Amino acid sequence: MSPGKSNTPIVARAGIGLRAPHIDLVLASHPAAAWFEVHAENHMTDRPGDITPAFRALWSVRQDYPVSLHGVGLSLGGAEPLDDDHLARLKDLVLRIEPFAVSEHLAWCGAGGAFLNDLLPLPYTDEALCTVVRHVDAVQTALGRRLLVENPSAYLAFADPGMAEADFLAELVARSGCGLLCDLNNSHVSAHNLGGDARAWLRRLPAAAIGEIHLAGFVREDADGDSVLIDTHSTAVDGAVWDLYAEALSLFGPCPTLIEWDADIPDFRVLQDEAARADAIAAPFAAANDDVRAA
Amino acid sequence: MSALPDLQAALAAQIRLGIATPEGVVPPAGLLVVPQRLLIHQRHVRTSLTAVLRSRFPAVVKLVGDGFFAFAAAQFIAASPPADPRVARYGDALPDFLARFGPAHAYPWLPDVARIENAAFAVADAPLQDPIDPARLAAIPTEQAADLVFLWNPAAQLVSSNLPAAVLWRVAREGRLDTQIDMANAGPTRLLIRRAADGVEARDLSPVEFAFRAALAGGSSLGVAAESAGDGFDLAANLATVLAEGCVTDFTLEGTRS
Repeated sequence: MSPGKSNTPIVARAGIGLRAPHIDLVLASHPAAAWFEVHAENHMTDRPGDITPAFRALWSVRQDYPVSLHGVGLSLGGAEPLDDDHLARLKDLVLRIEPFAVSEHLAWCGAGGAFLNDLLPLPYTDEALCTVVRHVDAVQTALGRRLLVENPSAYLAFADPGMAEADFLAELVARSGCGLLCDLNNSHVSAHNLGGDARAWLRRLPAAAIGEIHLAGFVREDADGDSVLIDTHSTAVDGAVWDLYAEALSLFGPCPTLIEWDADIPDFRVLQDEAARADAIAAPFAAANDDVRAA
Repeated sequence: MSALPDLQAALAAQIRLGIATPEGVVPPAGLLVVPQRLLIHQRHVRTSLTAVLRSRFPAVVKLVGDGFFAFAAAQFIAASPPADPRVARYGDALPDFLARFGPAHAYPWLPDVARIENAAFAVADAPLQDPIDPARLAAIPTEQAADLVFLWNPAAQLVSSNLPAAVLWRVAREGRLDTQIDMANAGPTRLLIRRAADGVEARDLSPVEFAFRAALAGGSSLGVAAESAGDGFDLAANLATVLAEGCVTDFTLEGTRS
């Protein structure tokens, strides 16, 4: 099977994270959406070429929409070797779905054979940088294409934190040739939790490497009087993150932008409304880009 | 200096065991531990994996209640965390865990209900494969029929239990938890669970029907499987049903396999 439609040209519009509760709706009614992103792990098959119901559903979605594959299990920052079987499954999915983007996280997911289903933080040391560069290089070589690497949400601080996150990402881009998935909710959450400045972080990123933006919601918790933001993807995008989005667009220009909502998933219409809001914020920047091109 | 493997091993152990660093205990090398912050990761691991298990074992959840299930799941997650990043598949080992889990011994049927749910999940997740074309089988000479070895469809699973696990599974699945069940006389479980046109379907089998299918699924030849079903077994009718239910995707002839 190969997708019946070629890659629709990807305009810098807002897409929607497609999760299980909405897949049947999308297949049945073809609602308006610029593109969809799915978690690659939910649609991988044991063997190359297998057609499982989950694969078939994604393949069917792909007939009508551009698709981005977002991995949550490669553990790019893991000190242990990459899981070759998992990489092979990702490669098979990429070859068959022909996504316009493939992304993963600047994080590690477990140790000693245990996959903890969390995106755990790295100290931004030279050792960690070498590890991530090696793994990103291996993934890009296997897939034969550029990978977008996403900045994480952080809650923990390290005694030896290493370099600033934005510098680590810039160095990763320079050494591996990868692109960046700029998650603005994560940057807001991390800046709040660890005492940083998300705007300064944005300005230090290599603008030319930004291939996608993520927008999502968080919840606020109090831990012994200490306010902590938890990256739950369970609420609407926060006002502060919308402000960051406008700032990011002024720095990077229009960019494929995703509305991510993974828990307490609302009606599809709510996701469409969030995407429309992102498009409205991006419209002036797209127009400005057109003016530059026309000049 | 290689600090990253040690840091990750120490942090993973703390998160996996689900305990905060007690005050005064030396934190993992290199980590500025704020216990409440470490708890964020511990809680995410536990709640996200528990949610996966809840969705895979909905009948078990209904039968033992949410609180007991969360308690058992936490112990299971600490003892047997996922190895595969495809976490939606996590939980294959839960039935065996429940069989060993002391607090669950009050529910002796629970591991087998979980095994039924494992089978139903495997059926729903199995690759889509066409059943074998009966014309291909019809072309096999009669004298070779006993040597047929079938490739069993992973979207057709067999589950047996000496306990009435299937009755409990159905009661939970259909939301009839107030049903009075005569456990002593409810009988054993022999189920065929398979992918049907409108979803996963489960059907009770007689002892001979089950024995025949279990032998075929286990790789026995048609002749051996028919013998294992015992005297008075209607081979033609059973074979027709096996094929009609899409349980077979291919065949070889015993002795001719490469």
